[in-house]
Amino acid sequence: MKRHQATLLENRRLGPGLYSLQVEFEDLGDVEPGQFFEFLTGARFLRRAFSVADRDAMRLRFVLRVVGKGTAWLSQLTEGSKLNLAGPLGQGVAMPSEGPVMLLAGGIGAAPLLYLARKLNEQRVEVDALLAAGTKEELILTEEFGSLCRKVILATDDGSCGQKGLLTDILPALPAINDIQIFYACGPESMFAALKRLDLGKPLYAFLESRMGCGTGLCMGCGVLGRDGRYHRVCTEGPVFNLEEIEL
Amino acid sequence: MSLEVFLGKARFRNPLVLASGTFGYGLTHTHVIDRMGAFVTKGITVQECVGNPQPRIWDSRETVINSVGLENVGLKRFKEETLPLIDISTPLYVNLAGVDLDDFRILIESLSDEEKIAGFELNLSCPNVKEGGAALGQSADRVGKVTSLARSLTTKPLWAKLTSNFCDVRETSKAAADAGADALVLINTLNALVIDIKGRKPFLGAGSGGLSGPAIKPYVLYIVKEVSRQINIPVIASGGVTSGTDVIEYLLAGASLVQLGSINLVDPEAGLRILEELKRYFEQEGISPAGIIGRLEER
Ligand SMILES: Cc1cc2nc3c(=O)[nH]c(=O)nc-3n(C[C@H](O)[C@H](O)[C@H](O)COP(=O)(O)OP(=O)(O)OC[C@H]3O[C@@H](n4cnc5c(N)ncnc54)[C@H](O)[C@@H]3O)c2cc1C
Ligand SMILES: Cc1cc2nc3c(=O)[nH]c(=O)nc-3n(C[C@H](O)[C@H](O)[C@H](O)COP(=O)(O)O)c2cc1C
Ligand code: FES
Repeated sequence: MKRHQATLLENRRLGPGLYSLQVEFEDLGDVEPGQFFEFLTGARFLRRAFSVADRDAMRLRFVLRVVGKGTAWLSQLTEGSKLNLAGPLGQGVAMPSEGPVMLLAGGIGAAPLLYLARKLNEQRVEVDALLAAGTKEELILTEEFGSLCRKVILATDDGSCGQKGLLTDILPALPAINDIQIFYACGPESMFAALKRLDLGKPLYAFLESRMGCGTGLCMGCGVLGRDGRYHRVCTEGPVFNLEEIEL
Repeated sequence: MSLEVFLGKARFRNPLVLASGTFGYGLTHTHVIDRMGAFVTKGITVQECVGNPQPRIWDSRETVINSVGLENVGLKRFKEETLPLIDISTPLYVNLAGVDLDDFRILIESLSDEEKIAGFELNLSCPNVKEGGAALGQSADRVGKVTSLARSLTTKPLWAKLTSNFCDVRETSKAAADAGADALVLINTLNALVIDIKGRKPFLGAGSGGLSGPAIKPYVLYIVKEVSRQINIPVIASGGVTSGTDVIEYLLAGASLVQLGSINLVDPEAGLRILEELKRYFEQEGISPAGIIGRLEER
């Protein structure tokens, strides 16, 4: 595990409780989509995990949603603050050899999928995105996805932007899904459970979250129950799993 | 300057021990393990154990509450698959988690001849299992029985890891010492509850968990001081260490070795930092760890 003293270059509010952090590193190797960094905060003992949402040279972007004290502490940091980070952690996603692929984002789940969209775009794999959130204000990163994807479909629970309904209500009716080879999804657990029921007939990789202890494979805190009846560590074996292989 | 400490004939290159459950099986981060005084594995049970449902972790600024449970590969896989892969130069202590005498018999008979294993930590204290563990550890009588059974089955060093949950740890300490334990480990996590007021139910998947981290240090320091003055076998402290200063406090209070637990979750290299802090202290003071153990003066 590599530790970093990094500098916060920008902290921008994107929506209610939603913040985009630009962080500059002094030294940074390869970072794959799906990998995450663990942030030390002044509010909690353990580190907090955030996925890489984008990269530009030595700068990484993280997008966070405030849900508790650790995320609230980070959201209040001002530009120039020093950050104690560990990472990159976890396994990157298996990149597809051919497209088109579709990204399915529920709320803050758009964050790691943006970096995946960037990498797919670099590899000239065709990519569509379905971005869903509760309301228009919570729908984030739409422009960024727009510049990287063949097609971006928006949806909100209340219909304030794009189609009205849950991601899993809208997905089956999309004409584009027939030629999709692989799906990548990130969102709340309820979304994964509904996706499992939809049974799309193509591989679906799920970017999972879990309350982590160490983030480095030492404590078994983050386990997700596999179909084999054993817990698998989200931090070192994931955080991306084939949806087929996990119990929800 | 040497930081070595002896417990009987067993030599430790420094007083730092990586605590059970916070450093896996010793298969990763070996550059840290190899600089420590000793390493203790996750608790091993007779049967493979899947552990508790999520969520398993909660924390505040100074505490961790975990309900991982004894998720582990079980005795058979540990012996056949894991142990052969462990490649460390630091004494390997295996944490044995039995629910009754039979379990401890099976565990020790199976592992006692393994050369790689330096000694055993008897887990008489885990709050994260329904039966056994803590229940065993709450009775001086049962602590004595498990320890003397273990003593009769192995010549390897035996550490009795105790609890203060709902029991008098001075009595269980005495029972373990009388039954032939080589050292006491004080203490395992404290029973703790986190409540989800919206759901009106416990937050952790297992219902309750074990409290650790900096907040418990003053409580454990007191126990270490009291027990080490009453019992004549070495005490190993476990509770809330995050710095070299914390280690020195425990040594003064009477501990011979000091375990690092929750801090490893924040930084797996914390042991290296703490070791440097200790080196600096002992060099400046011109003394050795052995020279300060139990040297807390009266007020
Ligand atoms: C691999 C990975 C990648 C991630 N990537 C991102 C990302 O890119 N962006 C992002 O925003 N998040 C991400 N997360 C999630 C993020 O790590 C968490 O949101 C963060 O750790 C929360 O920290 P906190 O201290 O703010 O909240 P905490 O205080 O720890 O609370 C976390 C959750 O637990 C609940 N909770 C805590 N205590 C109680 C209680 N007593 N009763 C009921 N509920 C309770 C809270 O309500 C909240 O929903 C990721 C997680 C993982 C594992
Ligand atoms: C995630 C986690 C898992 C643990 N698992 C075990 C275990 O399997 N066996 C055991 O004896 N103690 C276990 N413990 C207790 C620690 O070894 C240690 O005694 C305790 O956490 C107190 O020390 P600390 O405050 O330094 O963490 C665990 C602690 C944590 C935080
Ligand atoms: S968070 Fe500790 S093993 Fe994954």
